[in-house]
Amino acid sequence: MSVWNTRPGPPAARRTKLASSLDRLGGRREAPDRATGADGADSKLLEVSHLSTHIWTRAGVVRAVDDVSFELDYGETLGLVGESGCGKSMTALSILRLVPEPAGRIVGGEILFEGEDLLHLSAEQMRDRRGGRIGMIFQDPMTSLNPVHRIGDQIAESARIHLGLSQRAASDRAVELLDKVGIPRARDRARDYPHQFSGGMRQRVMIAIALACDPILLLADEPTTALDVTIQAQILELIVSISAEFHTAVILITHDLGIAAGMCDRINVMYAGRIVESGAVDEIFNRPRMPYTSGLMASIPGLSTARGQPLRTIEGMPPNLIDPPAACRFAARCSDAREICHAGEPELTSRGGPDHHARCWGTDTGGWLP
Amino acid sequence: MLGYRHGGLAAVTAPVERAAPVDGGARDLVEVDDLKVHFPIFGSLGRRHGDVRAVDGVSLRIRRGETFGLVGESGSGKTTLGHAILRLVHSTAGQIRFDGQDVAAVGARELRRLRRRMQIILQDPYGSLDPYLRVEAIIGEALDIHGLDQGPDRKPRIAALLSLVGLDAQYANRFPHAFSGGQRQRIGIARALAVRPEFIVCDEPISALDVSIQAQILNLLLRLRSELGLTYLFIAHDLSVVRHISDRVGVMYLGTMVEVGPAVSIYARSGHPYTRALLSAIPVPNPGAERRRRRVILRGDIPSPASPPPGCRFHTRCWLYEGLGSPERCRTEPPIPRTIAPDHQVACHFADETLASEVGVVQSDAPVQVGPLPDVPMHGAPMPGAPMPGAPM
Repeated sequence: MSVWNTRPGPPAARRTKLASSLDRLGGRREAPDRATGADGADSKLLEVSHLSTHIWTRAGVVRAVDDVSFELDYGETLGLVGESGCGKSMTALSILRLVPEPAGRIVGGEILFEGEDLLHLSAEQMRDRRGGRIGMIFQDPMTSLNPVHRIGDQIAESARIHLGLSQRAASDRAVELLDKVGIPRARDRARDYPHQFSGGMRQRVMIAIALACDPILLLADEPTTALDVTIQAQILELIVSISAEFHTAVILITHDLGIAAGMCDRINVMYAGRIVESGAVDEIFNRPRMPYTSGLMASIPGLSTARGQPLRTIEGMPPNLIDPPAACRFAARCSDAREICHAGEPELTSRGGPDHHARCWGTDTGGWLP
Repeated sequence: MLGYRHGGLAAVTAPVERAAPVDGGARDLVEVDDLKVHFPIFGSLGRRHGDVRAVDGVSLRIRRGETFGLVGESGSGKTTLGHAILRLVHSTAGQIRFDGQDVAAVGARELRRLRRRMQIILQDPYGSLDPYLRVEAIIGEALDIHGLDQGPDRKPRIAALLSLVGLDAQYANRFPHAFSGGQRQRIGIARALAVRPEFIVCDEPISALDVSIQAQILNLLLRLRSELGLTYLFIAHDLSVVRHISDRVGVMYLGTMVEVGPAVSIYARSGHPYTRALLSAIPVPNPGAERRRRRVILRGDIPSPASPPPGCRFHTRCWLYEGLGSPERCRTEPPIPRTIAPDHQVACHFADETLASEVGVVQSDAPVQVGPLPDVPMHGAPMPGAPMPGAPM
């Protein structure tokens, strides 16, 4: 465990960070200075450019994430939306450098987090960012907690390692965090084991662990998929209130467009390892400029769709990413596809609206789609 | 892809002639009266500590040809109710009649005959198909058990079933691992249809699938219903999906049915605070509506069905109960279902107050009513669970 305690940077800086995080717990926190980057100006919190992550399988090399670029501002909530296998989780794992090796490997690109390239950090430095400046919440709260350790200790471990708190201070911090995420009788419940918690409570514990070190970026990979709709509403409300209070940026990975609509400032729609459309949430939902996005939206029964009528579907299945077609990857399933769509792959180009980009020949300048 | 349209198949896939119901057609296909399914809890030394009351006094009717949607949180007993109707679990008390026959009382031979008429589609398409059996064997097993379409009829029948659910008949020789989730669910549906059932329990048939595939399977179920004249019990936790497919909807909470009514009525004018809370929790894919929306977020988890709260089981989490200043009646007296609209029953002492509130109301033009929170707090108590101002959720 000792290596975990080795922290880069001068001790003075460390104390400042610790003090500010303790202030926050006591509610004495000053207005966040995170709206602008560390060096002022308009630098972004996270800049992912040309990220490619491949997975080696017996059948061939799967291009799970293929030349993906996007940015994230301080305090912003970005949705990564798409179906299973589209590369959204692998993108998140790449940012955390948790791609399962040796089968998977990040083969190219750059991930600038607060100005430093995560891909050039040593394993030790990366461990320090992970769970420190970058918090994470995974899908399955049943398997993400260690069943043989007390809840409080699991939260305290992170605070001890990353913030260098003493055992006792870390335990106190764990209780405060449990209280913060809405666990009643936090001091007693900190002594419980995970099996004594329900699914929703465990996800609250996961959020407490993610928050333990005062992250500036929270990666939430399908945080409510395993939960009931009522509990899901509780957890989403918690994530929203926490990101607002602490000005934490969030990358929310979800397949549920309803959740994305309610939570996110901006959306990246992913398909077959690529971002196929990105933009402000209202742009994406009100003026989708990529047939895959509009197809997805039409295929969910809403509370106001005509009952009993067949839903619009997207026929077929996503392409095999071992040998993706040198064409628009959605063309084979697209009812609006023309010859050009099968001939070459379009670039992610601007669609006029604020920061609205789409990868589609049909809606590009001179295209045939509205 | 849809071979079912071609003639010739019709003869294979058409529903068999139904025997006329005992009393001339008036009888509902499934009748459940005061059903209880309790599971004993054993401690160390095999001592019985009590019961999990998974289903605790549920009555319901499923009419011929209708789709009855069953919703509720996990642990509400909806799956157990579905299993009890098929006698996959034994009921503790109460009656279940399928087409007039007491399902709990029939002998083994008669039960098999009944089971040919009622089938189930399971949730997990990865866990519900035997990985060592070819598709042909998976579907054919049901035929063999019931002695249907044997000999030379077997292969064409299986091919017809595969095309009926939108799969290529060539796939009969493959193993389940060769298929995607949606295709596997189609195989599961073909297996359920093999014996030409009248009634199918669909137990969360699309929850494990991807969004675009969900729509395909939902469309398939809708088509099969009208082509084969099926009756569905559709169990799901996704209220938008249930609204889409169901004629009537039942809402379960902690082993009891808290509200039953026509889908239109339940979604437009629900009289139970729990249903309202469920409706308000659905995320709507419309950012504008999501921002304007006020939610009632239920606090805490569903209580343990081993020791349900006294009185109304929902009162421990009820926003209306708190809004009304915790009336004693809710804690002491279990509510009796009463009719609030044609064919629409609600088990709540304060259904009128619920009806008067705007929480979770679904209107046809706007996805979800975004009006002010209800005026119910007569005693000045703040509404519980109201989201913080400014928060988008």
